[in-house]
Formats: sequence, structure tokens, C-alpha cells
Amino acid sequence: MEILNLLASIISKEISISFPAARGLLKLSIIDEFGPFKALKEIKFSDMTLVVNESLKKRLIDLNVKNYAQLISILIVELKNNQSLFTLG
Amino acid sequence: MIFPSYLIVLLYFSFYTLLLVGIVILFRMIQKKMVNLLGLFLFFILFALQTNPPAFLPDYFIIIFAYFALFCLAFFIKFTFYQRRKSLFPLIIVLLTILRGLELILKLIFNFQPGFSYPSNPGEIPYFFVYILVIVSQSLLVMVWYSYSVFKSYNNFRKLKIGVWLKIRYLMLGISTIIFSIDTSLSILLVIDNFLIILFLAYASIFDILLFTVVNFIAWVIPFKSLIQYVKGETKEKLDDISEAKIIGKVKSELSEDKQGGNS
Repeated sequence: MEILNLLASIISKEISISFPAARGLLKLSIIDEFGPFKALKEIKFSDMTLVVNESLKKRLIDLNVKNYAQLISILIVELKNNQSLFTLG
Repeated sequence: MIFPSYLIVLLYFSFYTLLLVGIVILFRMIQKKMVNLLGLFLFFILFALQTNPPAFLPDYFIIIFAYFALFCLAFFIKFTFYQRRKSLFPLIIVLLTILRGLELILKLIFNFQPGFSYPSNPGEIPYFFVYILVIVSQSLLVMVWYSYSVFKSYNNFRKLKIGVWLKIRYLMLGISTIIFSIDTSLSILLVIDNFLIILFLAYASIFDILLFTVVNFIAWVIPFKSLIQYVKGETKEKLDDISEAKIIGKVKSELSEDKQGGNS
């Protein structure tokens, strides 16, 4: 799922963690919101917005990431700007 | 005015290609449960009917098909690129409706048939120019917006870590919509009463309809990611194959490394 790669590369850059760790964090956030059996390709733009705004935000707070609010707003803007990847990816 | 028979064959070929791609998009829409693809599906079906309308339908239906085809394409662009974002969608729909209304009025008054007959009354020629301009600007409006949206998205992620094949698809889409727009602009030449120009425009429009259709098919329909995974023998990525403890441990250690690195 390319949108996952895109968001992971932004997280990785913003809070200085590796790309696989950022990707894993995103996958955990998806599981928090929809459970482990939802197919990644079924995730839509509105689902991912919910994941970023709710479970990812909670996980970043739990991990004591100080600039979490700024990161969440960057991710939401990037999601909106690149939403066509959900159809094309 | 008699057109060569192979031009008619090409026209039929593009008609069936548009229809076929439309149907495949419908299947893709159902499979992926993506309502925005409904706009693209209807665009291709209506565009097919516009290029080769059933003989029993009056000319005015072509105008209606063309209006709804562009409306559906604008709907697709809006819900693929601009969900929960400000966009030109309302403005484009208003302009499209005004221009189509104007086209319909001119058609009702003068019964113009660009490409098939030229106005015999010199007094009608200025209205014929306006008529052509109105037709050209409608397609341009939507196609330029499509092209702009594609290139803007491409520009957003071209430096980020995502698949090269995805970037290529965006580029192909952008280029094909630009070619479509250029060809649409060339239709302004219909104001010249010359059979060779009409013939050239007919071939050019068949070429770009086919190019646009094939590129949209490749971009929105072909599941490249699944094909690549299949060729490489990779299994599909799942959510239940990850360990929370490992990931959180890794993130925590990387975050603390970063803090230490920052302190030293």
C-alpha cells in the first residue's frame, strides 16, 4: 500500500526513526482502529484520516513524542494532497 | 463530404475501446468499492456514445452525452483528488453548464454541424466561430483541471519513498491529458472550411481518444502492485503478521538514540 510508504517516510523524517519502524507504527495504528483482519487494500482515505487522527496520535503521545500535534497536522495535509494514491495505488 | 472508410473503421474501433475500458472500470469499482470510479466509468460510456451515437437518436443527444461525460469526469477528479479539500469543482460545473446551454441555444437557432457542413450564409459565420469556441472551451476546462491535478499530486510525492511505477503512471496520465487538451484546442481550426483540416482533426482526435483511454486504463485499472508481487513470488502484506512488542521496542530505542544523539 503506497500511501503507507508515503506516510511512513514522512514520520521517519519528522521524528528521526527508521522507515520500517515508522511503517510498523502505522500498521499498529491501523490494527488499533480496525483490527488485524482488515485487508490493507480495503483502507480508504476516510479510514486513514481516522487512523492518523485517533490511534496514531494516541500512540505518539504514549511514546512521548513531543511534536506529535505538528506531525499529525503534516500527515493530514499530506493525506489530503495525495489522496489519489488510494485509487491508483 | 465523404470520409474514407478506414476512418469510419477507426471510429468504430475507438467506440468499442471506450466501451470496453468503461466496463472494466465498472468491475474495478465494484471490486475496490470505490465510488469515485463511477465518474470515470460513466465518462467512458457516455464518451463512447458521443463518438458513435445510435443512429435513431437526434443530434441534440450528442450534446447531452458530451455534457454528462464531462460532468462525470469532473466528478471523478473531485472525488479522487479533492475530497475534503477546496477545489474548482463548483466553478467548473457552473461554467460547463453555462457553456453547454449556450451551445444548445446556438445549435437550436442555426443547426450547426462542425466537421460535416460549413455555414452557407456569411452572416452566420461569426456565430459559427463562437459555437466552435464554446465547444472547445468545455473540454479544455475539464482536461486542463485533470492535468493540473495529476501533475500537482506527482509534484507532491516525486521526492518521497514510493514506487517508481506509480510515479511513471502519474506522468503518463499527465502527459496524455496534455495531449488531449492540445488536440482539443486544435479543434478551433474547424472554423476554416477545408476538408484536409477536418480529416487531420478527425485522425488526431481518434489518436488522442485511444491514447487517453489506454493510459487511463493502465493508470486506474491494472493492479501493478499485485502483478509485481506475483512475478516476484511475494505474499500479500497483511496486518496480522507483525509483533507489537518488537515494533514498539524498535521505535522506543530509535527515539532514545535520537535524544542521546541530540544531547551529545
